[in-house]
Amino acid sequence: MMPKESVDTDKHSAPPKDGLLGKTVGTGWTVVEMMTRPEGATGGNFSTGYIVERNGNRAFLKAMDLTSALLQPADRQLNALARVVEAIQFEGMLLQRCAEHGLTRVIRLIEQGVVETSASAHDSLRNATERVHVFIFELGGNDVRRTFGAPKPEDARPRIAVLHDVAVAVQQLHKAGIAHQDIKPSNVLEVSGERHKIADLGRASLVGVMGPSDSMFFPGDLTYCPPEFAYGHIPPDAVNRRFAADAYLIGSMISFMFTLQGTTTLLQQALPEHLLPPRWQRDTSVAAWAGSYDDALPHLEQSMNQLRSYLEPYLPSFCRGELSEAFAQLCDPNPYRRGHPKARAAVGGSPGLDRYVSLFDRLSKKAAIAERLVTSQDT
Amino acid sequence: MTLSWARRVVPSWDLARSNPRHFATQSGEASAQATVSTATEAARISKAVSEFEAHPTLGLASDVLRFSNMVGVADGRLDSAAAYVLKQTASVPEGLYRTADSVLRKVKGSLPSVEMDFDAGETVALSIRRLRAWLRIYNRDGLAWSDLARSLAANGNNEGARRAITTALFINPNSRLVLRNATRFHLHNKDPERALHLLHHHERTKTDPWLMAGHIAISSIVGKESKLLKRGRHLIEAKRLTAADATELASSIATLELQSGATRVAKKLFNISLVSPNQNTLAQIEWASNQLKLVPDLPVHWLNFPDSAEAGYYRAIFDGDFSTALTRAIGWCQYEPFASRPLIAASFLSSMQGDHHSAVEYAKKGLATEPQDITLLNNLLFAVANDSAAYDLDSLVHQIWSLERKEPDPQTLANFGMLAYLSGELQKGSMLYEAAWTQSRRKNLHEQAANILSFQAHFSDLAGSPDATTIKARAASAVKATALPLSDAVFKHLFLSIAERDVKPASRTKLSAAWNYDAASNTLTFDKRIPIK
Repeated sequence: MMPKESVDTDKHSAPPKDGLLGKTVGTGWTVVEMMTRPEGATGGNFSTGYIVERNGNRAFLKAMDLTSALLQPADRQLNALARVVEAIQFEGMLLQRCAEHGLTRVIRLIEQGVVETSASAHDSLRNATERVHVFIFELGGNDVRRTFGAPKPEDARPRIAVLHDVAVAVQQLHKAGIAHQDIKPSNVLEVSGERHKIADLGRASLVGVMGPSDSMFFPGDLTYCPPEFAYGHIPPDAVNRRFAADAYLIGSMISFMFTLQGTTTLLQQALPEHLLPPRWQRDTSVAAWAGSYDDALPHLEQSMNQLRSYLEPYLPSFCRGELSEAFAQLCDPNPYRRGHPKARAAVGGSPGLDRYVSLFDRLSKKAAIAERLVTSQDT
Repeated sequence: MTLSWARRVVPSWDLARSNPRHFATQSGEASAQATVSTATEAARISKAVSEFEAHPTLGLASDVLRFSNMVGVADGRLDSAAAYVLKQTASVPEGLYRTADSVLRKVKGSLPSVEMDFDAGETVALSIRRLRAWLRIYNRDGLAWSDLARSLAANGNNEGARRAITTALFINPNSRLVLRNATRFHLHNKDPERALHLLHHHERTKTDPWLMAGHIAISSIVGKESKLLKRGRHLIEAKRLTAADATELASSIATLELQSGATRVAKKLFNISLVSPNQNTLAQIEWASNQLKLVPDLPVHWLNFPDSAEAGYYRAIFDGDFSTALTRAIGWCQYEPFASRPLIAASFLSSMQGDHHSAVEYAKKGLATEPQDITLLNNLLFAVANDSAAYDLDSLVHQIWSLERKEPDPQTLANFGMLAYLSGELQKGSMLYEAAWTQSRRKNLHEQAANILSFQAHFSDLAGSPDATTIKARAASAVKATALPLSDAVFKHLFLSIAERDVKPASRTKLSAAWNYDAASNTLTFDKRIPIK
């Protein structure tokens, strides 16, 4: 076969990861539905999502193969292959670690394995290229973007409960040495009742291991990016670069749960145009901020105070001060100070997420009491 | 009455949220830096829009609108989500509503809470109230403390301003903005040594061209040569700074060169500063142009921005266009409400146009922040002496005398000469003007000397002095020798405009205390037997 024809054939055939529908994979899972929006649209371009079923239980399957990398032009092929291989291996390692640590608020990996989509006895090369690596996760429900609308005084409890679940999840990850880096409303999924878990470790970092995302200034969604990265400042150590970014993203969830907008979106609107870094600029007739992050910090701190004064009226009255304070600490634009001041002052200086776990737990209980009081008064 | 001063590139005192304009970067550099929507971002937007369209909810609409800060305002991809938000009857958070509204109206969004935004129209008292209320809640906001210091200084409360700027510096010890503002405060507070000390002992000054420029300028004010001058020159010559970072440093060194007579080097450095000038360096070149006897070839619209009012003022005043200069001086007052110079300019120009009442108001406003500024006091004296409006002339003269009794400034001598002429003491008036002219000449202030002669000619004429014609001819000759449009304009204004308006000096120019001038000791003396307030 001529090489040209071979390429043409490849262009027209679907990659093996897209052809799992109807197949039985892993330990008896039947692939029943392909996700209408391939996950690759946001999380990379080498995976496809499916719903799988076994004994009436449904789960989510993430399928990855090497074809998109193999089809890259010659000068980019090896790098692309290396990236895909590294990504698959790294995610597998992270998920394995999560399973070992028994993380209760992170979408659980049920199993992982390989699906041989080609079973040619004579063409082992074809068998290799059409091999699909799969991860099967517990199936999450709707994310918080769909389940929460405009905040009302009577739905404070479930909103704070989401914050508690997210903080627990991130704390569990951090204890396992993993920084999530992409905590955002679309990755906070309802699993049962009002319990939420966080999903998608595709952008995560593991302390002490150079992962595929670690070369990126900020691996997560740029519309939720902590300000230090947008201003080109990358803290040198893992605590302040990765764990502090997670703390910011939890703070951003406070903002989202009560105003439906993340901190970064609001911060961009609070800052005058000339103080915006090039990545955040909207008006190109004004020169972007060209100074250092140190010089930008006082402006960011002032704008963050503005955000706080905007956010406060939307917070439940019974815990306004505490939530507002938590927001200010978690979204502190200074990554070296971000988090609880006492935890930061301690040896190791982590953001102290355990304190926020306790706070959100206490506040959600307080909200439940307030809710019961209102109900009893009504009856 | 005068408006001559030496200008140096001292740090400006900027509000935290004001935009320090860099003129050359308006389109070029900024466009290159603009956010470009990448293919990944486009895919993310498409995904968010699809999800929203499949399940329209407020949360998913909000998820689409988070891209509003990334895409251009004309981008239509977010419109359906924006329209959905605006149609909601439930209480949509105001920020989200505003974002949706701005997306559909194709304008930039802004956060509803705008307590910190400076309102150009607000009074100093209102700004102080607003900032104090803010600081009661957010007392760690160093920039708000810095803004408060500026407003307090504009209100004449220098002690309060000192405390506020010290707090700002305590909170943000390494912020260039706060350091520059603190430096400027100490200059405003007539303490250049302290301003220099602050810069000199800050680690950052050794490497930061903006602070280095201030160090060089303030060293020159206190009569020292900056220890950073050599390093500054090296930085400029090495061309390692961006044009915006080089502008104040080049301009500051250029001013030193100009003062030492090295005009060729000064011109070269000023040209470097003009690659990307800011308000400060634009004003500096316009000020220096009078000494360099050239008109800078700059885009005219640069001088028309409200925040380049100081530069526009110099351009107009040195052209002899008093009307435009007055407008620009008033604009300059709004941008530097704590500064005395724009008020000196406004009071001078108002008097030159015969509006002594406004001149009195501007001078009084300036004296509220700098009560011992001799130029403001002299401008006030000039306006009062030439206006019949009631004002305690004795008290004002005493105030000037108490500051200037020994070795008075040429402008003070000239003003006392004016008083003498207006009270009919022709010989004394002539002697004082002569002394003022001699001192100006000795200091090589040729423009001031020519102006002194013009004013002498004017007042000797008004007083009916037999020497008036001779003095006028002498003034005309001196004005011609300066070849400066400003001196020419002063002369013409005094003899044409004011004469045509038939302006009469105040009738009450006779002081209750007898006074004299001893030329030998260069001292003003008052008769002690008559009490002076």
